[in-house]
Amino acid sequence: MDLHYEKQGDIQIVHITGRIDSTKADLPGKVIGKTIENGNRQLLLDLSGVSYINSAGLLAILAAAKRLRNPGDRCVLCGLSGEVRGIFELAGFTKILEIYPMVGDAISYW
Amino acid sequence: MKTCFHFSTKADIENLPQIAGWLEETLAGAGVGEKDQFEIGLAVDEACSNIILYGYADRSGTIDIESCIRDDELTVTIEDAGKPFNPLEVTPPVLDADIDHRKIGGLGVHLIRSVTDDLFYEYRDGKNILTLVKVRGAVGCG
Repeated sequence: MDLHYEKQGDIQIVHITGRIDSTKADLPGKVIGKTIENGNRQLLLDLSGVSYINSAGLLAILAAAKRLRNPGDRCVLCGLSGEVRGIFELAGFTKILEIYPMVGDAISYW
Repeated sequence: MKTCFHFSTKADIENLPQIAGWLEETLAGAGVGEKDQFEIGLAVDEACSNIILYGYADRSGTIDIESCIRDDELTVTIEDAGKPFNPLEVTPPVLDADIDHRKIGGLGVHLIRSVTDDLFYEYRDGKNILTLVKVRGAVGCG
């Protein structure tokens, strides 16, 4: 799993690629935690390069979303492949997280 | 016709990609569709993650996996000598809870149940034996 950062105005974009399984599932949690501690409270997680995610990865994302619940905070996801989106749906996460098709869609609706 | 393959590895978190790779290669080689591969792969990954992180949390050991492919279904049996753990007894998560009330536990077992058609567990001779059954080509995620 690799992470790449991009800033667009107040939006901190984190592009994640690879598999998010239990071997590295704490990494998104740590990265997001650090990003939030650095004062970024508007987060866009781009999963367009993610081929797989398991429950540990889902829970790291849920934990981040739970931390960004103050007025003005955002935790938004985009770029889910069909398979990855299927896992989010089975977990019930598509109902509780804000998800857009691509980075451009997420930013245009920000 | 039934074809079975066996894989054994040390119960180490770093070996999860190795398990996933073996399963994918075995299923693809036997002509199993990509969707079935992906879904049974998720179930096996979740089950093995639980075994490594909880079953073997205080000890070392091995995980033995047997994958059997029939024309109409896949069966994967996972054996470990970690702490007894029956996933069938795990309380399912409340999927319609809002984000503030969504609990962390039970999600892995819920995913296993969701992508398989049958699940059997027994504890025999000091071993957890979990069998996952998936009907080929059935509706699942994605």
